[in-house]
Amino acid sequence: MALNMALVANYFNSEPDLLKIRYFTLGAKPLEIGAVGLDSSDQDVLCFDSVSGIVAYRNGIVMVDDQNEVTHYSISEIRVVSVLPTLPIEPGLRVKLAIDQVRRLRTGYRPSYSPLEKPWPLMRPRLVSAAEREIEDYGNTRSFLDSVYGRPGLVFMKDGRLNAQHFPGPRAYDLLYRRMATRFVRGIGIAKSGKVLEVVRPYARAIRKQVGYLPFAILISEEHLEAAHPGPRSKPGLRKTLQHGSSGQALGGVGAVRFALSISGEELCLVEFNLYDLEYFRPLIVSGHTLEQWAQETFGPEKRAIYSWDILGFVTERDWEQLFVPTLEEIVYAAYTDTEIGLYPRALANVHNLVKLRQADLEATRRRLIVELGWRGISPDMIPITLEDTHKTDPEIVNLEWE
Amino acid sequence: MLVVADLPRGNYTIGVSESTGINELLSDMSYLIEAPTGHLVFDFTHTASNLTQAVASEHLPGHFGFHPLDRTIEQLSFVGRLAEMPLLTCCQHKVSVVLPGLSSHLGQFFTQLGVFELMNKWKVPVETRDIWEPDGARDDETRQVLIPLIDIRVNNASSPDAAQITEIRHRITGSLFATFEDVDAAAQISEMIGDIVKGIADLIRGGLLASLYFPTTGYLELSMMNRTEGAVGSTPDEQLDTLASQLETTAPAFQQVHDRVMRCYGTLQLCNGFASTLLAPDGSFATMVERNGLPSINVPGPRATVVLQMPGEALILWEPFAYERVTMMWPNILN
Repeated sequence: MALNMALVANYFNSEPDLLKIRYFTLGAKPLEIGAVGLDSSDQDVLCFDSVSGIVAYRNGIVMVDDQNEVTHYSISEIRVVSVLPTLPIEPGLRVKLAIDQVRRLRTGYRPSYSPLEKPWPLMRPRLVSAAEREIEDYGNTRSFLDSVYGRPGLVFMKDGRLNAQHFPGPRAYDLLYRRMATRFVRGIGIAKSGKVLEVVRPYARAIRKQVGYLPFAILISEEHLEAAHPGPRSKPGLRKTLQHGSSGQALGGVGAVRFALSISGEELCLVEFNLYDLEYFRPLIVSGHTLEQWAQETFGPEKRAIYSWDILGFVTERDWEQLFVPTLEEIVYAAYTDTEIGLYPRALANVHNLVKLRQADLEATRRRLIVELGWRGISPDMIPITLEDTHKTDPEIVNLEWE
Repeated sequence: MLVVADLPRGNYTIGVSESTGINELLSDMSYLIEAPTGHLVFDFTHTASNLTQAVASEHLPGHFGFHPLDRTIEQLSFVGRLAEMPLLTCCQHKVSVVLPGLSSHLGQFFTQLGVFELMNKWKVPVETRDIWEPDGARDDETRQVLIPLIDIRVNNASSPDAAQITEIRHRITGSLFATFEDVDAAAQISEMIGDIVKGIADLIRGGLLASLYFPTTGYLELSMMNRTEGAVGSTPDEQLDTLASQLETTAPAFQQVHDRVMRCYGTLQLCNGFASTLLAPDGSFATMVERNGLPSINVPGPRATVVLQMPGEALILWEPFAYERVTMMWPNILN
C-alpha cells in the first residue's frame, strides 16, 4: 500500500487549537520541606521455562531536603522469589501457599479467597516479581509514613500511577493515601507514559513553541480521558484507570486529578494527585466514610462507581492555589536543580538508579543459586539461565551467533 | 491514623482500620507526646468488614469475610496497655473506644469475637456508632470464631495456665467436630491446634489470644500478643538479637510449634518490638527489622501469629482439581 507522506508529516507540524485546553506555565518553587522518591525494579534470574524460574526484585526510597540534597535513603537487599507452577502436588502446594501466606502477613489482606481451589496460573515469572515489588512498595510507603522521616509538608513521589490494580487492592491503597493525607504528606504519582499523554502530546508540542523553555502543565480534562479511553463508560478497561474508591473494582486508586507536565523540551509526564489531599475530600478521612458512601449521599443511591470526571467537579480554588500549582512548581525545582539528569525530580532519578538491577548484581545472585542447586545434585549445565527467543530467525543474527 | 488532634480542647481521635498495625499506632502516639492532657478515642468505625455483593462462588473476592486477626490483636493490646498501664506508657489521656453498632456485620463480628466484653473487663468506656454498608452486601456466614478473645495467664514459672489451655482445647475440639465429617481427622487437627496454642503461649509467655476459622476455604488464623511485658531490646537490631536468642533458649517449644505449623501447611510469624521472623510452609525463613526511629517504650511485648491451611469442607464438593488429592491425603500426612 502506498503512503501519503504529506499526511504523515501532519503528525509533526499540526497546530491544534490551544483554546480547547487549560494550560499554564510554571516557575520553580523551592521544596517546602523536601521530597521523597519511591521506586522498584525486577528481573529474571533463572528461567527454567516460560512459566517457571527464579526472579529478583529490589526497591527503595530516597529523600531530599529543601535544597534538593539527598539526606536519607533506604535500598532493600535483592530479594528472590521462585515461581514453579508445574511442580509435583505436595511441594507445589507449599510454594504456592508460602507466597499467599507471606503476602497476607506482610499486608494484612488476604490475596485469594481459597488458595486450594485452583492451581497456580501459568504466567511469566516476571509478573509474579512485579506483584511482589508492588507489595514491597506498599509496605515501604507504610513504613515511611510511620517513621520519623515522614514529616508534614513533604512531597512523596511514586514512580508510576497512584492506581490500585495490584494486590493488596483498592481498599488498602485508599487507606494508605488517606493516611498520607493525615500526615500532610502530598502523594504524587509520576508516570512517563500513558494513553492520555499521547492525547495531549500535539497540544504540548504547540505549547512548547509558544512558551519557549518555560515548564508548563496541562490539566487533563474529561474530554482527554474520554479520548484516551473511548467507548461506553461501563467498559471494564475504564475501571482499571479511572474508577476510584475502595470497592473491589476501583482499580484507579486515588490518582483522580491529573496534569501533563513538561519540564523541558518535548518531555512529557503524567502527574497524579491524591484525591484525599483535595479540600473537599479531606473530611472523609476524619469521618472514615468511604468514597462510595459519599457518592451515594451526593449523587443518589443509584451512583455506585466514582470516576475521575466525578471528582474533577469538586476541585476548589484553594486546591489550585495551595496544592496543584505549588506542588507542580516544587517538582520543577526538584528536577531543574538536578545536575545529573535535569529532566526528572532528583529523588526519583536517584532512587531509580539505586534500585535498578544491573547485570553484575544479577550474575552474583544467579551464581549463588546455581551453587545451591549444585549442592542438591543439579548440574549447572542442566539449569537454563535465559529463554531462547523463538522469533530469532533473522539469518544475520543467527549466523553471527554461530560465528 | 490520627484523624483529630484538637490541642486546645484536648480531643484526640485515632481512626483504627483493618490495616492499622502496631507501628502505625506508635507513630500516631508520637504526635501526642507533648499534647495537653485530654481524651483519646480509638475509633474502630474506620474498619471495613470485607463484604461482597458477588453471589457466584467463582467471583468472590480474596478478602471476602476476612479479618486480619493479628492486626486486631495488636490494636486491642495497644488500647489495653494504654488503659491499664498509663504510668508505664506515659499516656496521661483518658482512653475510650468507639465500636461499630450491632446492626452492622462488623459490630456483630466484634461481639462474637468478644471485643465488647474485653473492653468492659479492662474498664475502657465504649461508645457505639452505626456504620454504612453497601445495600445487599453479605458477610461470610460460615466464618467461625474458633477462640474468642481470651487473656492467657502465666504462672510463676512463665508457663501458661493449664486450666485455660484445657478449656481452649475443648472448645477447638467441639468446633471442629461439628465441622468435619471425618472424626479422626477432626481429632488430630484439634490436638494439633491445641498444641500450637500451648506452644506459642510458652514462647511469648501468655497474652491476648484469638483464633478465626473459615471452613469453606480451610483457612485458619491464630494470633497472640503479650501486652504487659514490652519489647526486649532498646533498638530494632537488639530486638532481633533478643528474638533469635529467645528462640534458642526456648528451642523445644519453638520446635514443637514449628513442626505442627509446617505439617498444617502454615506460616509462623514471631515478633519482638520492631523485629520479626517469618517461617513459611515451603521451609523458607526470613527476618525483618523496621528501623523507623520511633521509641519502643510503648511497644507491647512479643507477639506470634500462625496462619494454617486446613482442608476446607467445601473442597470435597467441588469438581476435581489438582490440589484436591493433597487435601484428601491430609489425614495420612498428619499421621
